[in-house]
Amino acid sequence: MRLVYAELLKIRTAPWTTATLLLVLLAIVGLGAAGTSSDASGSVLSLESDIVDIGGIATIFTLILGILIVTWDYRHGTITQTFLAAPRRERVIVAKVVTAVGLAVLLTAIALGLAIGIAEIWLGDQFQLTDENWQHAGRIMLAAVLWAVLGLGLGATLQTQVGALISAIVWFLVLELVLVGLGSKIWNIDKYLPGEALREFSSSGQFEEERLGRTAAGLLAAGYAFGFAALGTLSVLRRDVTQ
Amino acid sequence: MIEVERLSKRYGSTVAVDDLSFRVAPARVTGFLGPNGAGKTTTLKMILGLARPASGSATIAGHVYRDLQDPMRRVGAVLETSNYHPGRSGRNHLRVLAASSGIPASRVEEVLELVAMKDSAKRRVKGYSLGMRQRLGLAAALLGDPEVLVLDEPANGLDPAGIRWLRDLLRSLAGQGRTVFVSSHLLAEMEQIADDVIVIHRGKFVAQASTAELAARATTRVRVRSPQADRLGELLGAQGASIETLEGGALAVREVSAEQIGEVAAANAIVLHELAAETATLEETFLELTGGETTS
Repeated sequence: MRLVYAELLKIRTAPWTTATLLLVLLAIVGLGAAGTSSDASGSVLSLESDIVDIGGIATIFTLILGILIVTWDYRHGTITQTFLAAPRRERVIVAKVVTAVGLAVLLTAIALGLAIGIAEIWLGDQFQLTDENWQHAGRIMLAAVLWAVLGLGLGATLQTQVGALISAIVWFLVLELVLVGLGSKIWNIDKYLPGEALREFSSSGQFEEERLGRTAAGLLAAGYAFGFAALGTLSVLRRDVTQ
Repeated sequence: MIEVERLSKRYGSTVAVDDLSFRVAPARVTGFLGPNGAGKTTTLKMILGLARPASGSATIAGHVYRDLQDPMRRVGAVLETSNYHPGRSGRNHLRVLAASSGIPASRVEEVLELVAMKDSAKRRVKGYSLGMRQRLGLAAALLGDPEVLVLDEPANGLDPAGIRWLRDLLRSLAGQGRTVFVSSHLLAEMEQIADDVIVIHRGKFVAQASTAELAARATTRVRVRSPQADRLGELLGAQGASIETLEGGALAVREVSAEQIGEVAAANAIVLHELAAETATLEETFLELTGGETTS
């Protein structure tokens, strides 16, 4: 518990990164929700789920947050002091996971709240959330947690901030798209990729039949997230501190 | 008490620490001395559980670091000067560390006072000088009021006044019965700060002695200048002296005292232009111990 408090204090006392992250997220979600609301005519069927999806942009940010929570200790060399205070490194990892999960939930709740709030104010009665929309929002929340754990695992495995951020960007925004393009045609592997699994799990609509299905996609995504977290833990436990 | 037993560490094909054993006693300031790259920091990291030994063990009060309950209350350590988040203030840096060890925030103010950093504590670390970072590091090490202090090059970046301050602080801490272990690559620093010195070179143990003993071990030689240097050399050689000719024709004589040389010269009517006993500095002794490699 002390270590979780220390992690939160680390974030609070070096506020620029987190504040920037939050502001950028709020700006994107705010603009997105306002844009969608202003375009909405009475005939848009998917308005509510579109608004919830805009709140779901937060998942990208929770991935980054997960990476940062573990790598800024390495980047600034404060990992030495972290481990001097808590030489049982697995406890540090658990504290970081708890912190990342808590902040992922908070960040996503803020983003969803902002998107829904803007739509409510803008559209009034025209905007009606159904149970299905709320379930969709709940899945986005879960996905945000998985993205955060995945980011943390990636950061802990690579132990370099720039390396982990670049790897995440290159994988999710370039390689995975290329593989989806190729994979869906040739090997049919696209649905097994981590980003795709998370996307399928947290999306509102139904994917085509040859996809995994929502539950299976969620379990696969959780497997990726905790697999990376396990790999990262192993890497943190075994490697010497080189700073 | 810190005990290092046959400790070894290799990085690839490089042996960083080689079968190293020593003990650091409480109530004294013990220097850990060696040229840069001698394996000092690697050894300290193994003592502090940050690096895994290839073989051997390092314990503090009988426990490996990982098994210490509340380690910051037992051991205070500073490894490098740059281990700070640049955007965090000095005070907040200490607050994070205190929080992670359950140390009350009021202790942060106490240690800031102790290292005379109260005024600059609210500034961000990126604006700190090297000396201020060293003080902040010391403050962090002292947070848990530990009985063992392990400090890596704490005098680096301090001005002479700062080094005197550090010496007084470390001496008073050792005076309270604490174990103080301080690494340095500069002998002059150790001469001022440490009671005992452990010397390592290329990862191997070289010597452990009190600073005074080490100084006494420093070989004394007598410098002699004489127009009849050859004749004097022969006579002194007959008395068992070892003689070396220095630049400018002066002789460096060992194994016999300045008095003996004076008497031999007088008895043989040899004119002396200079007769001076020279004590080698710790620096020179160190060079001798480590095979003549420079210390920086």
